[in-house]
Amino acid sequence: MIQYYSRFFTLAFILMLLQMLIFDRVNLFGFSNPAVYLIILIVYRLTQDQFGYILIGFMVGFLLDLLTQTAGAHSIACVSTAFIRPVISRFALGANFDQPNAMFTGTLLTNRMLYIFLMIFIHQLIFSFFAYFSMAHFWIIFKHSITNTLFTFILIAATINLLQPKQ
Amino acid sequence: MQWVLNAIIRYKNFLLYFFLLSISLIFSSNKSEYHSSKLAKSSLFFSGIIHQPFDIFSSYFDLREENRRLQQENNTLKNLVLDKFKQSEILDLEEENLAGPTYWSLPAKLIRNSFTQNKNLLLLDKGEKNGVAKEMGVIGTHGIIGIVNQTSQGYSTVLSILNMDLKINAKFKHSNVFGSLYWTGDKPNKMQLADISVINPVQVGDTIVTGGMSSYFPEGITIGTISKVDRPDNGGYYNVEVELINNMTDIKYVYVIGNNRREEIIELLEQTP
Repeated sequence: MIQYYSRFFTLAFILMLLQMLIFDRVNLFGFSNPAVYLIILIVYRLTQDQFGYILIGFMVGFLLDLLTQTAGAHSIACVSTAFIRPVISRFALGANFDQPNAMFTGTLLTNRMLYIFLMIFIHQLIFSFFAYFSMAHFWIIFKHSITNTLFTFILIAATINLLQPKQ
Repeated sequence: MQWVLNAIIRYKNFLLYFFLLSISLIFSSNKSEYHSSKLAKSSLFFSGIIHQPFDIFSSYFDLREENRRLQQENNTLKNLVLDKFKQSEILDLEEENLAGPTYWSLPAKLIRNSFTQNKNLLLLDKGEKNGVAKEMGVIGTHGIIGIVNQTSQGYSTVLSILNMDLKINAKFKHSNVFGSLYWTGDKPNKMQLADISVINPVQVGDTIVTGGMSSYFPEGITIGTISKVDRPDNGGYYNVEVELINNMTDIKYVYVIGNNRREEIIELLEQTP
C-alpha cells in the first residue's frame, strides 16, 4: 500500500509540474490546453476508499488553482469529478467496475475509453462553467469543453496505453 | 445520538464533498481584501519561483526574434524623442518641465502569459522592490496589456485586458468620443467598445486609443482598429468590435507605467462629494 501511494504521489507531482510548465502553454487553436493532470484522477484505483480520493481530488485542484492563479475553478472541477466517479465507472466499465486495476486489465478497451472520455468531459464542463459562471457564455463554455476534452482524451488515452503493464 | 453518528458515517463522502466544494466556492468568490491579498501574495511567490527557471531556459530559443522586435521598438522611441525635441524647440514647455513628467515607465519581462481563460492573469518578473505597485498600467510594444493586480517583492500579476472583469476607458483617435472597452471572453484579438452613441459617425478602420480619463494609462496609446460596426434598430448605442493591434498571444517584454500624480488625483476625487 505504501509503495502504491509513493508511486501515485510521484506521478501526481510530475503530472502537475508538466501541466504548469508545458501543457498550459500549448494553446491549440488559440484557446485549447490539454488537462493531462487528469491522469491522476483517472488511474487512481477504483477499489480504494472514496473519502481519500475526494481529498486527493481537492488537493490537486487547489494546488493548480494556487500555482496557475485561477480562482477556484480547478478545485471545484476536480472535487466534483472525484465525487461522481463511482457513477461514471459503473456506467462506463460495466460489471467489472470494482476490479482493482480495471483501468488496465479485466475490462474491455471500449469501456475503458468511454470511462476516460466521460471523466475528462465532465471535468472540463464543470471547469469551464465555473470559470465563466454565466449562461450568457453557453456556446463558449461548450466549445471550450468539447475542444479541450478531445485534445486531452487523445493525449491521456495514448499515455495510459503506454503506462499499461505488459501482459 | 447514535443515529446522528451513523448518518455521518454513512454519508461521509457526500459531507466531505459538500465541505470541500464550499471551501472552493468561498475561495472562488472571496471578497475579503485582506485574506485574498495574503493568499494571492503567497501563491504569487511560489508561482514566480516555479515559472521563472523555465522561462529563463525557453527564452534562449527566440533571441533572434526578440532582438528584431527590440530594435524596431528602439527605432520608434528614437523617432518619438526626436519629434518631442523638435516640438520643444518651437514651443516653450518650461511650465510642464517644472512640474516634472507625469508618467514614467519600467521595462519588465512577462514570465507567464495567459489568454485561454475568461479572467486572464499575467505574471511579471518585477515587483515591489522595483517600484511596481497595484493599479499601475502595463503596455507592450504596440499597445496596452493590462493593469497591475497584485505585487510581491520580486513579482507582480497583471489583470490582462483579456479579462472579463476589466473595463478600459478608450476613445477615437480622430475625435474625443469616449467609450468603455471590454472583452467578451471569445477571441483573444477582439474586444467590444460600449457606450458609443449613434449620433457619432463611426467607420470600420477607425483607430481606438486610450482615453486618459483614468490614471492608469496616458492619453493616446493605440489599442486597435474598428473591425465591425452594428447599428441596432431601436437602440441609442452602436455595437462596436475592435481588433487589437497588440498580439496578446505573443508578448515577451512589457513596460509598467507609473503615474506621479496618481495619489493627488485619487485624493482629489475622494474629497469631491
